[in-house]
Amino acid sequence: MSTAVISGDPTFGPWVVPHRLQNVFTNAYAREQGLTVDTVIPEPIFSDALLTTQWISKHWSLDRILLCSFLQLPHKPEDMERLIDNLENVEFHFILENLVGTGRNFLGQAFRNAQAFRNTSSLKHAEIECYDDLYRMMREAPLPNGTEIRQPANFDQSNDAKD
Amino acid sequence: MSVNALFEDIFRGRGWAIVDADHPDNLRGLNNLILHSVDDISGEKNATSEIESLRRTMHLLTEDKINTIKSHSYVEASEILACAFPGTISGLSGNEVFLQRRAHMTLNVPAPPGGRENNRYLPSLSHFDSMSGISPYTVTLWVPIHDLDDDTGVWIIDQETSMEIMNAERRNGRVMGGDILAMNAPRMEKRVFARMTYGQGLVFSPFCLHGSVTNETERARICFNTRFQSRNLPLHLRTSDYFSCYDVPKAAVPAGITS
Ligand SMILES: [Fe+2]
Repeated sequence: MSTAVISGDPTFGPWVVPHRLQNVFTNAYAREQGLTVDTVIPEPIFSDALLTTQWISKHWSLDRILLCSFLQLPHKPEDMERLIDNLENVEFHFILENLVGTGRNFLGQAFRNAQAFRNTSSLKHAEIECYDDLYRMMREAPLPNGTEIRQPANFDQSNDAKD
Repeated sequence: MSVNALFEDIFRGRGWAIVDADHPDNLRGLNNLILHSVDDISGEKNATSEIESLRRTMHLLTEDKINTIKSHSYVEASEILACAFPGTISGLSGNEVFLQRRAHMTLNVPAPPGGRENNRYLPSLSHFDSMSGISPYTVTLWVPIHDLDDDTGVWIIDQETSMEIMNAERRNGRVMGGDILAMNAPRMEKRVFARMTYGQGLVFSPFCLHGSVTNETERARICFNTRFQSRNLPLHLRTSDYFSCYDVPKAAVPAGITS
């Protein structure tokens, strides 16, 4: 069983995780799971296609890959397709999400989930200085069906907690 | 409670409400998770396999066993909660949501024979859930797996008062000071203890201060809680590490909830 940890572009999802921290993280996970790490694959910044990993797998045959997050998977569907074609027999561990699996379905599902998170905006860079800023946002949350709220005539509070 | 009234309560009003499960039978799955984990871990067959019996005997378990039950990963629990309360989730956040990947299980265990020795009995300190980095649109669903007719569950303060308490701290240059943790801050006395019957849950916004108090009764309190938010609204600092995608099955949502 050959196991590789990947340290990729430090920026993924809302986080910046330096290479060294990625390595500390994946190695700690490996130890906890009783896995021996055979190699560390450095992927270049400005790329999420994981081409180095695929090239290494072709020449050295990888059985298991540890990644900090499924958000490090390729963003473009065609890049992801290529990765699935090349690595569908490799067992993937996405550590932050606590997911382990192999095969086209598992990787496809991980990709779709990752896309859902990527396609959701983030408040990380919003001008938020305190809880009050967040609270005001919440007070203006839209109804899920997009209609304006109307107070029902009989406001039912019969289920209120008793103190 | 109508959907609009619930939405109004959570996002515009006091920030919390008690809701009925649409499919309470699903909650038995949570009871089974606990009973099985106790059986597996304690090595002693729970004689009646009933939650009430377990609640009365849990304080007799060793420290290690309690800790193992607490740290057990209840992988299925979040989806079980979602299957029991689809109308609540759909009415507050739509059918396409991010659902907390692993629900939390919390215990409030009475003292063992001989009294209290350590932090096994530390209650949940005052906080609101926004402090953890969930977005302001994330709602908490807190569900006991038995009737809750005493004060061993969760206390809660309406969100407007909670924000006044927090803003008073902020004016003193603090985020959360000892006065809040010790429950001495002005207006902390506004807390109310949520009481409910089995099959109900407490939903609350991330801006309601809440916590629990030491269990002085004879019975353990056992609860599961999870969090969810619309996939159409922004996330904050917790993302794929905390949530996974979940689609509320349309057929499970009671008629009248149109989102
Ligand atoms: Fe909380």
